[in-house]
Amino acid sequence: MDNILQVTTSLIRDLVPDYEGDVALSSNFEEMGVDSLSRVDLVVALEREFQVTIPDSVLAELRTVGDLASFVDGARAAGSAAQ
Amino acid sequence: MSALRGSRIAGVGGYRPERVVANAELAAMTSVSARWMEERTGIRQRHYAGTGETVVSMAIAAGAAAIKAADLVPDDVDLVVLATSSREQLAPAGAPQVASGLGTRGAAAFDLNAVCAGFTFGLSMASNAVRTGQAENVLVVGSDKLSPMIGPELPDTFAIFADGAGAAVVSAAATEDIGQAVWGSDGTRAAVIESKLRPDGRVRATMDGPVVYRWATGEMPAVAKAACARYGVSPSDIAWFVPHQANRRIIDTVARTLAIPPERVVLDIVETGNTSSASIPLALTRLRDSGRSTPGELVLLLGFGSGLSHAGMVARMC
Repeated sequence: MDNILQVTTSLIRDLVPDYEGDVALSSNFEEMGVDSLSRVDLVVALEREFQVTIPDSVLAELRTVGDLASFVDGARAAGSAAQ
Repeated sequence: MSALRGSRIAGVGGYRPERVVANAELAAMTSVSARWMEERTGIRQRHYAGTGETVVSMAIAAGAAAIKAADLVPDDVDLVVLATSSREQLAPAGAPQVASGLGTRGAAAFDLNAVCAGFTFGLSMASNAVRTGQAENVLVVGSDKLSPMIGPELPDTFAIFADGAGAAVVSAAATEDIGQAVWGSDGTRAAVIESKLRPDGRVRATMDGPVVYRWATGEMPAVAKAACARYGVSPSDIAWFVPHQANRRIIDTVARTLAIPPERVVLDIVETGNTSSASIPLALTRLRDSGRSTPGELVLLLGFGSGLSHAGMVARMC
């Protein structure tokens, strides 16, 4: 989970350079200026980085960094278990 | 069977309704700001049709401009294809009225509905009709009047959709100046962008913006590359990228993935909004009118949207 947060933080810094606050699992995307389309960019980058698939149905449910990290972590665990 | 002749875009023309609507006017009716609208879409203003203006009347205006630009007269046009998804009535089709309104001599005419990809579907069919000898000069018009289908209760589509018409004339040529289309659809995602009659008796356009963005930015670059390959070129050979003017964020991301520099991307969306089937020919008209393009330059056209449907092709600028 720490690794996911670290990568997510780095991606958020690139996506919203104006945001200088902390990024934590409780951080809210809207409050950081990560709008709904930037969240898609974030999801796509995390899918590539961690070799997971996040379904379209999840996109509308992502409110915080923790929401996204949990999905990535869960999908990664499911992928490992399948192998 | 003899070898097929070539086809070309002989002229383009557009019609933008007189009424200009800035983001601030819409924002005053909604819970979102003018800045929100511009940041999410790249749109600063759009045009709305006036009372009495219809899909057909806008198509006639755009068609007349394209026929003139092609140095033809309406009598020369023997097939009219009207791409639209927003007719005010279901039957008859609008294309025969466009053909008559322009003064063609009873040209064959039909409507085509591939929504935002309608123009590129129509252009491909027009090209093939000319190449096979089925037609000599085909007028392809994209015309949509989306303003009656949007409202402040749905900010996503309220911020984006607009009204307008754009047209191109396809004529015979010695060379293949309109490439074959790379096209397809995915009906399993029909609900992602739709307009339909609601229980309150109104037709409303809805869109799942993030899902559309993911699909378009994820899958359209491959379609664009395949369209280039089908014409025997690569994206780096393209002089002008003219995608459907869906949303500036989509356009910028697709262009970046294709490594097409911003100065080669034609943006009409900023001042015109998303006019669905009209957006590509309106963007081509803006490019031609800007004086930046030269006849014969390669343009990459990429239509995509509701369906989901897509069609991309390479052509030579008129």
